[in-house]
Amino acid sequence: MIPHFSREDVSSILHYLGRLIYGMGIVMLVPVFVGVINMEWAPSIDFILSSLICLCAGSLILLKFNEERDLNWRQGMSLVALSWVMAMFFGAIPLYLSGHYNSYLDSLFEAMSAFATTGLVLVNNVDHMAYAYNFWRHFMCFIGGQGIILVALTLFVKGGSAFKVYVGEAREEKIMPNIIQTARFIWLVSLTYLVIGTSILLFINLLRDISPGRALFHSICLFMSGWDTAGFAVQSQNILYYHSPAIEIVTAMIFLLGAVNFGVHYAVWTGRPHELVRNFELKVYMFSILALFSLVCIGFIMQFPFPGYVPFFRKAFYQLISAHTGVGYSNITVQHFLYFWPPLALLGIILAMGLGGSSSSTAGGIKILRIGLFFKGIKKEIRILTSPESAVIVERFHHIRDISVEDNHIKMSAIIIILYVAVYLAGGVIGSFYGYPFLPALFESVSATANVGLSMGITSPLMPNGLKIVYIMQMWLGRLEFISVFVLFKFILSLKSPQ
Amino acid sequence: MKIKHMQVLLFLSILSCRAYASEIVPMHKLFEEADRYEGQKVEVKGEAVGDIMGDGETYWVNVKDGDFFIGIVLDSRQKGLVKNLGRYRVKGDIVRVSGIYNVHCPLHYGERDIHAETIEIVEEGRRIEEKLETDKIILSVLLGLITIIFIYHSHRMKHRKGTGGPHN
Repeated sequence: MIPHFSREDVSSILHYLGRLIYGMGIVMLVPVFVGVINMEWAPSIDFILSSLICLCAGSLILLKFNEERDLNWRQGMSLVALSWVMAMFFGAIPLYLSGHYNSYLDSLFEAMSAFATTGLVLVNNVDHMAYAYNFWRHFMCFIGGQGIILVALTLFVKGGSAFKVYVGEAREEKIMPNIIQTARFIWLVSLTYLVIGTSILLFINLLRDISPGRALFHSICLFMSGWDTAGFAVQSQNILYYHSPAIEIVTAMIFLLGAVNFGVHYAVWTGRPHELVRNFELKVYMFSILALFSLVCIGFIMQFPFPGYVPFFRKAFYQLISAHTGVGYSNITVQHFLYFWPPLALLGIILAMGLGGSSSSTAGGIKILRIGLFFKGIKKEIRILTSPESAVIVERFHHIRDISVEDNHIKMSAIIIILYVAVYLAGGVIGSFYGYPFLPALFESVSATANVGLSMGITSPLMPNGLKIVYIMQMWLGRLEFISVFVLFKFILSLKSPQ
Repeated sequence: MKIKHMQVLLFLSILSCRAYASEIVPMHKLFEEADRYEGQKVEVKGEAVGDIMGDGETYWVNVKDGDFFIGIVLDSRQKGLVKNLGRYRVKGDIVRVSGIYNVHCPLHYGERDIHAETIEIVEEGRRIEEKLETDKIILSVLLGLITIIFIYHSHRMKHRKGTGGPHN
């Protein structure tokens, strides 16, 4: 029996959706500014037109559904899931108008990839793309990585509704007592790192004789995409374009920081640096990186195509941490994966992508905390079974504060792990049905669902439309961690089923 | 007689080797048949895109051939030859580069590159003018007007509600 959504539910959801679309119209004025300062008149007009489409649609919805009410849980969850779909539809408009995409579906794919901070691309000839369009691609990553709803929270969601939509966007932890303060803190951290990261990248690019304007553009875009673990780049060669170990080191630092829980950032910012060594999630993360890098090394030792340790470490370790943090930046070509990477090393990358980064960070995937909790749960069960019946077994871990492992933690972790693995495999099987070998199909499926963006070449403008839609769904499900999307599906079903 | 035949064969083989050396290798072959070309002198052709980036005393430029790219290492003299780099509104110079191909360059920490010996501009790049579409401008003006009407009504409605209007 599906509980029916009332007219009031629909009205509340559409009211906030109207606000969100209206807000997108305002946000689209930023690339207009980028276009105007670069004297790119045609792209500027495209953004003005796109902005007006959003403002018009948003104000029309607000005209019809003008009552602001507090949201309940199901409304909040449905709103979040719908917001991402609407953001994709409206965010894709300027991309489609740019003429760099074969179809509107390709623009939708790219918009979802940007908002979900995946980094898989269908753009044609990005090397000749106007600054305004290219900025928008990266700006969508920044907005999506911070969380579309989190952006909205700081602007126009009030009261009790705020926490419900915050949770719906796959963030469970309130870093500060008040959710609006939490959203503002996340912005403060991101903007501070934006200034620091962009300045360092700018300095390197200027040293390399890149003109100041272009150096600044590259640096801002690289930061936005790296910090929010998206993996888009200004040029089609991605990080390989720069041929620079310095750029690789700095971008690696940026995306490693981006993949750290904002709670840990808060602890360090508020004078508790010991959290870095005590935090359970970070310990599991380090262990996972080392274990998976060992797997990649074994893969290469068995079939070693690299001529030396330095090139090997530079290329293989960068790919591994890029996969594990979910950024998808790459200093090798797609063809390199195809022709030079042994299957065992590819398996290491697939596992790294699947596991993902920290919870409450900009990273995707299952999340390391859940993996850690799952194993803690197994350890607890073994301890219970091997202890006297009267013994009370308590398993603890430190994550911002000392927490004892409860059955509910383990249950929720296991559910999310199972859902992710099921979607990873389903995407791989669907890719195989479309005629691709299973390993690359699985690689691409995990990359889409875990919002990574590394590719073995399946993702291209020429891939079947059905597979593009499958990957869009996977990116959406993966970014929102299923629950809010399931609530939305329930909502849609309840509209169709009889009273 | 035999010696004469040998001389002819030798001449033909030298000729074919020279022809092979000057043959342009499609860039995809540098990936697909990497072992064949590793450490060999190759010649590639493509559009110079993006930026010329300094790296000590040498420079990098990326050359694009279809969907494939390769980083070319240039000296300061060769760098000066490339005037137009492919970007928005700019079609880059089409260059023909001859040099040594490295799958994992020992000098550049394993980069895949070509160390240019010669670089020639086959086709000079050019500026491409933007086309402004009047349809989009007209549509923008119309949408702007409609949006103003919607926003005005929305505010009026809010105001009426606030002052105990018919919707309250």
